[in-house]
Amino acid sequence: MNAQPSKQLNKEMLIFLSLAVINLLFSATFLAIGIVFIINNIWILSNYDSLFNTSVALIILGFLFSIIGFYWIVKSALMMDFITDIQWKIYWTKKKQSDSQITKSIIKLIAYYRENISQIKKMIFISIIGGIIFVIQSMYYILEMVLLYDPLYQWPFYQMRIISVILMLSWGILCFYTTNYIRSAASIWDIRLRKSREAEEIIRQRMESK
Amino acid sequence: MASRRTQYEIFWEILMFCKKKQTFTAIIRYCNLNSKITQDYLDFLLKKEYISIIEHNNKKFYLTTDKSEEFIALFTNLYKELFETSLQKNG
Repeated sequence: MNAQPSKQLNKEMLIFLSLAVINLLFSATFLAIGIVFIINNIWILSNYDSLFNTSVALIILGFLFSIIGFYWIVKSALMMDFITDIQWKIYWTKKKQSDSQITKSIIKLIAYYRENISQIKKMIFISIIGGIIFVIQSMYYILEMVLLYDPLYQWPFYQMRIISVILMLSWGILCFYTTNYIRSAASIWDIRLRKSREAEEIIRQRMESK
Repeated sequence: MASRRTQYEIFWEILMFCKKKQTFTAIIRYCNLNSKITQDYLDFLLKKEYISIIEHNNKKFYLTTDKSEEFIALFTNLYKELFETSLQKNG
């Protein structure tokens, strides 16, 4: 096996790693929103006699967000751990990477993709949705800043807001760009899975004929 | 994280690992399998004469035979091909 598959393997691991990082950040945001909902509404709730008001609904929603966020953080972190584990092994044997070492890494990745295909598709979907939300939200803030601009705004309020909007917009665009790249990588892995089944059939026939 | 290997991928791993003589426990640990499945796979490979058993100091070791080279080469080439075909698709 020459250097090209090894280079491609490293590139594709980086793609999966970026998918894990994007999902980790989105799930952390989700968890943070959930916690904010809970904290902001718990003290309001204590001032009301009735338990049936919007604060209760927001607290429940907050718990739901937190649980989903936490669950997805764990899932994304496990994916990150798996990829970095292979990357480290490749990194340490970089200079003397043999055919068998590369084949072993390919087997690991194919086996991982085979087992986690639905989760990876969900992660891609979340990245797209997250990207859309961030772009829309930053557009909204830009419009708000332009339309409701007040010359009395003092430093650092306005400048800080501009920085946060730029960060949000860049993050949204980056998610779009990366997700497109990841989607094409996932379609290649789908082809690989199909071809691995065909390869398996060839091996089976060859083994049985002996 | 969980991953699902096919039996041929596991055969390849066992055969590559047993290029140097290995104990049953070492194979279990290296291939991350349970003892029953490992025994089934080893029985299959023994039947195909892809591995042999050697005894040393009253200990049983498994060693890959020359006959398995054909399987290893076929498997490696097919997986290499699989990866290169996808590369062409990727452009």
